[in-house]
Amino acid sequence: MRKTSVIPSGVTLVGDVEGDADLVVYGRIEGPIHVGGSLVIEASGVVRGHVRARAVVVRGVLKGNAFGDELVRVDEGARLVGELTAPRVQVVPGAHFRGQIHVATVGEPRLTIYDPTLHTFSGWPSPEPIGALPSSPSVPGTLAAPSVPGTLAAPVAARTPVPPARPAPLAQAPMAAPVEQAPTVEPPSFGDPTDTTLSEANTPELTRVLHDELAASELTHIVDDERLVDDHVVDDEHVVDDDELRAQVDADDEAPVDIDATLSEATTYPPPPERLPLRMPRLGGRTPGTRRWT
Amino acid sequence: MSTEHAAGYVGPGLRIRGRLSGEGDVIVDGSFEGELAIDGRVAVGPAGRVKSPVSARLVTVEGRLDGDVAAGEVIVREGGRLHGDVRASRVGLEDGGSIHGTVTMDFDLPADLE
Repeated sequence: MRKTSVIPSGVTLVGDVEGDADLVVYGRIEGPIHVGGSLVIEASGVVRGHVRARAVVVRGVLKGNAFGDELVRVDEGARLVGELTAPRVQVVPGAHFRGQIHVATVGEPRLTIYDPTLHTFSGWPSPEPIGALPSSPSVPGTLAAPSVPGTLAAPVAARTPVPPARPAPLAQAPMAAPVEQAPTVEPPSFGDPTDTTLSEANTPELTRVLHDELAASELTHIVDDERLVDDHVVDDEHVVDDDELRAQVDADDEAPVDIDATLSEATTYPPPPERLPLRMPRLGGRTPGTRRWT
Repeated sequence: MSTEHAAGYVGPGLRIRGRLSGEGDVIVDGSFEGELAIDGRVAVGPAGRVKSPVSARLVTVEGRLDGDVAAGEVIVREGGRLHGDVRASRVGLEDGGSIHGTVTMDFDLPADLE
């Protein structure tokens, strides 16, 4: 059984933490944390930076995104600004939290091209060098200006989750990799495609490779859908559900109400509670939005 | 679900559209679409489906709620799905529940982290 690592109260670490271990933070850490075991930020603990662990438990302060391979839990009294991503996310009432919650597997290359957080961490990057922390951890990396229209090639490639078959190039990239500096039209005439280090000379090649893979993949129709870009739809689930709902609403608008069927159907339900404080609408003549409810 | 006093109830199979406002509690096991502005508690049952902005003191979601929520407290229980932005003083998310949207609460980080 491995011993738990501890950053005690009163101690500040500026740098990054990585390893297969459990870590409890009572003090302060400025920098990214990636541990294979559990990470607990205790009530006195303060962490500024993105954290990833098998289980992340926050009782203190975290400014940065939390990724749990199994669990992220925000306990009562915690103060957290960032995004939570894990297959299980728990927020206990009394926790203070601003940000978004993604109940999802970390690193899974799902259709989250438009999610800046997941895009950045779809492959967990090696820790940044000390002192190179982004000034605002809640907006990690350079996002290649997701909302800027125009030349599509570079932003799309930059937002592409790292394909599983080719994790090496981006995995070695620092978070602020200047992928978006790639030229968008002319094919690069330099750069060794077998060289997986992300240098400026290799960036165009890398961009082109990612773009080709994207074009060959089934993601293309999503990427080409300008409406999705405009709406900043976060994942495919939203899209499907919205369409579903819209179709259903449209159908509702067109379909006349069969009052008899509705009434006979209604009689099969258990009786409502004794007293309804709400005045129920009369059936028939339904014109959505025009009925007075008071 | 506490029902010690009478609550507004949208039973299964019932669909309502419109604006619902006033004092009291509302339980939705059916379908509601429109707007919910309740000075009290709103519960979306496991089979309930609400598509509307919701403002209330306490919002409990066990079914599905599409819409922005402004409340004192929001609890999303197992199986509950909340699609929309949440502004509340207290937010609870249980295992198996999900919030798709931005959660906003008023609090301060330590000064040097702001």
